Amino acid sequence: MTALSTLVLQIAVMGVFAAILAGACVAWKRDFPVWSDARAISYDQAVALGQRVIWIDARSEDHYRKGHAPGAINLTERAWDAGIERFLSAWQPEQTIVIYCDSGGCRTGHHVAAHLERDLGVQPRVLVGGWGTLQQHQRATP
Amino acid sequence: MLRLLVLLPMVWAVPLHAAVTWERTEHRVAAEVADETIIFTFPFSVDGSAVIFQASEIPCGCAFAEPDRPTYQPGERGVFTVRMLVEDRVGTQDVEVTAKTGDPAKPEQVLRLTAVIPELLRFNRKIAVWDKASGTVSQQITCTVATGYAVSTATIISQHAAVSATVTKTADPQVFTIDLSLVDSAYRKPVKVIVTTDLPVKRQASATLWAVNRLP
Repeated sequence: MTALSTLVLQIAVMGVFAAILAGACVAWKRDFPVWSDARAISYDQAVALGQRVIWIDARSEDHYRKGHAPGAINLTERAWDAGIERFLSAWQPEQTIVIYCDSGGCRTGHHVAAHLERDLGVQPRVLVGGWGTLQQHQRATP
Repeated sequence: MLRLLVLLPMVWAVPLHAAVTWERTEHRVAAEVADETIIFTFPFSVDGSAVIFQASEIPCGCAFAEPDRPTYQPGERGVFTVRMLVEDRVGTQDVEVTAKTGDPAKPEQVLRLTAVIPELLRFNRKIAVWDKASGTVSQQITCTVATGYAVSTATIISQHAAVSATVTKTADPQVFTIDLSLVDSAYRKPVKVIVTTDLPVKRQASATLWAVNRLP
């Protein structure tokens, strides 16, 4: 086999792989919502707000009971009615709402954020890195 | 180089102890208004050795999950079905189901379900707030009824005398408004306001609104 035919074969194989990858990306974007980066807030940005932050823990009640950020309120789509009353009792309009969940992707946290945007007309933020980031910074309390 | 290109896909094709191959591990379903159960299906195939489904874990207790039979031989295909109960859930609902199989390489597989359940009563907001910017003026919440449905009566119950609530019909039969007035400006706890309508779908005939006084 000549060098030229080898090169052509290599390009063809790479083309097939690229097409498969492109197709997979298109399918992924079609099936899953792409969360807005506008909601993202880093740990340092959130901490810099001091008392002007109200933390929402969007993880399950079990995880919340095992440990959560100081003062955080457990609010999930699953137990909305119970959580929203606790949240509204503590919330002040001048506070920034920062939501965290288990993972960095924080799908459940984005759902809670969207729900609050719709019901309350506020723009909550979602903590980059979620619970893992809080643990790294030792803000978590048992 | 050519040998590498030929061998690489063959190496990838050899199963590495994986006995269960899932066609998908995430499933998003748009439900109909009248649905009481939403069905999610996760097809899979079995390779290598026989697989016995042992259990499934659903943290919310809102669904039932099972394969179409408990045991599968190598080469067989099956479907793992999750039935989610709608009950009073609306909007986007996420559930994670853990399927426990006898697959030695991966004994547990997390399956992610997303149900989008339509709302019959759509409010422009569900929480009214009196704060420094709004003052004590009454707050209005607008409700639009989904196309194909009608509300002839809507009743409002405020659960505390600190907030009064009244419902007003508009020229559009699909739209009504709820006016909330702050009666006791010293009361600081959130007040629940329940809207009850005569919609035929009972689980969506009522909705909960909130009124919060955050005046300085």
